[in-house]
Amino acid sequence: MTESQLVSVTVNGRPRSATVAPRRSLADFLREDLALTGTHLGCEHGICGACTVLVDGVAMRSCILYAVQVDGAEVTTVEGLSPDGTTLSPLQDAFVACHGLQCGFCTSGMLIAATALLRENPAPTEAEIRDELGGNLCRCTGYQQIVESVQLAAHRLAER
Amino acid sequence: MRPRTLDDALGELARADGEAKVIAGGQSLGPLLNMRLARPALLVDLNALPGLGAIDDDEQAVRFGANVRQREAERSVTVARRLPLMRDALPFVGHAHTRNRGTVVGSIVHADPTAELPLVARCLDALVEIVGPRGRREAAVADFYLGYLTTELAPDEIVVAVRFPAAAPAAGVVRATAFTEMARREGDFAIVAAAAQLDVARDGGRIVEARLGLAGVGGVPVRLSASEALLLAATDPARAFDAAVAAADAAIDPDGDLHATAAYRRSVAATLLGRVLERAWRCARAVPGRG
Repeated sequence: MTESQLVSVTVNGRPRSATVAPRRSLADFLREDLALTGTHLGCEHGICGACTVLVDGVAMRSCILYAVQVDGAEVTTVEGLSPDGTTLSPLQDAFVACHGLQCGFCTSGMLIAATALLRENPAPTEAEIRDELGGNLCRCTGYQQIVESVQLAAHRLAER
Repeated sequence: MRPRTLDDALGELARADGEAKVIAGGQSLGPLLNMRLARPALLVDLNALPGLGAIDDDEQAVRFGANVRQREAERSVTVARRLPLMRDALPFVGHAHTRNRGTVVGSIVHADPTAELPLVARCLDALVEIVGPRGRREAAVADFYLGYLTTELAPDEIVVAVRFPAAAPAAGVVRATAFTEMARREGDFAIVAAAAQLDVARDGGRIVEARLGLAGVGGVPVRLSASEALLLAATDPARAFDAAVAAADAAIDPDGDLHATAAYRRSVAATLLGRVLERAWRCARAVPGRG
C-alpha cells in the first residue's frame, strides 16, 4: 500500500491541509479530516449528486475524487456559499422562500450545482436548470420547488 | 501516484506488476473502487502529465489527449464542426457534473459496452494511441475491444490519446448525424444506444457513406456493415431503411441481463436505429441547395 501524503487545499477561502491515505475520497477528507459535514454522502458512487462541491469553480462529485487529486486546488463547499459566514447567499435565500428543500439531505449538492449553473448562465431556462440539476437526486420535493428556487435566485440576482 | 512524466508513469505501472490502474477522470473507476469491485494496489494519476490536455485538429483527424474532459469536448467548436456524431452523443454521457471530470479517452478505454463514446469511436474508426515499455503503438478501436470492460491494452501500457479520422465530405456531399439512446433514468447507462452518420449526395440523393452502430447489444459496440451496404446500394435510400434495420437485427446477438431481456434489447435496437436513420436522413435532405 502506498503511504499517506500531505494534501494542501484552499477550502472556502482558507488554506487547509492534512495527511491522508491516497485512498481518501475528497468527501471523506472534507467531512472527517476538516469537519465540514455540510457535504453529504448519499450513494457514494457518483449517482446522487449530494456530495457535489466546486473544484476550481467546477462542480464535481467529491465521492469519486480523491483528496490527493485536489492538492493545490480551490474547493468550495456549502459552508462557503454564505457571503460573510452568517447570512444566506441569494440562492440559499431563494431555497428558503420557495420551499426548495424538505429533509435537506440533497440540498448542499443542489445549492452547489445551482451556484455553478448561475455563474455560467445567469438567466437559465427551466429546461437548462433541469438539465444541469439532472444529476442531483431529491426524494422529497418532486424538484418543482427546487427549479423555482433557482429561477427566483436568477431573477433576484439580475435585479441587483 | 501522480507522476510528472510519461516515463515515470510507465515505470510505476511496470513496478506494480499488473496491480495498478491508470486514472484520469475517475468517473467510472471511482464507483468501481467505492463498491470494491476493483481493488488495485496503486493508482497512477495522469492528471499532472504534460501535453495530454488538448483537442488537436490536423485536418485529417481530431486527436483527444487522455486528460481532455468530456465537458470540454461538448463545448468545443472543433468537435461540433468536425465530429458531429460525437457532439450528438456527448449530452447523453452521464451528467453535466461527471462530464466536468470524466475524460473522452477514459470512457473509450473503460470499454463499457453500453457507453456512448466507445460507440462513436467504433462508428468513426477511431485509433487508440498506446505507449508502453515496448514503445509506441496504435490500435484500431475495432481490434482494441475484446469484450465487456475488456480491451487488448496490456497492464503496463497507457492510452495517451485517441484519434478520430475526420476527413471532410467531398464537395456536393452533405453529412448528417443522429444519436439516441434508451435508459431507465436520464444520465444512467443506456439499455441500447444507436448512432448514424450519413453522407448524402446533394445531386440524386444517394448515400455515399454510411456509419451505423449500436451499443448495448453485446460485449462490444457493434458496427452494422451489412446495413450500411444496403443503404449504399439503394437508389432511393429512404426506402431501404426497413431492410437496413432488419439486417441490423440479423447482425446482433444481445444478451439478456438484469436490466433487459435479449428480446427487449432487440426490439429497442430496431426502434432506435430506425429513428436515427430517419433523423439523419431528414437533416441531410433539409440542407438547402440540393439537386
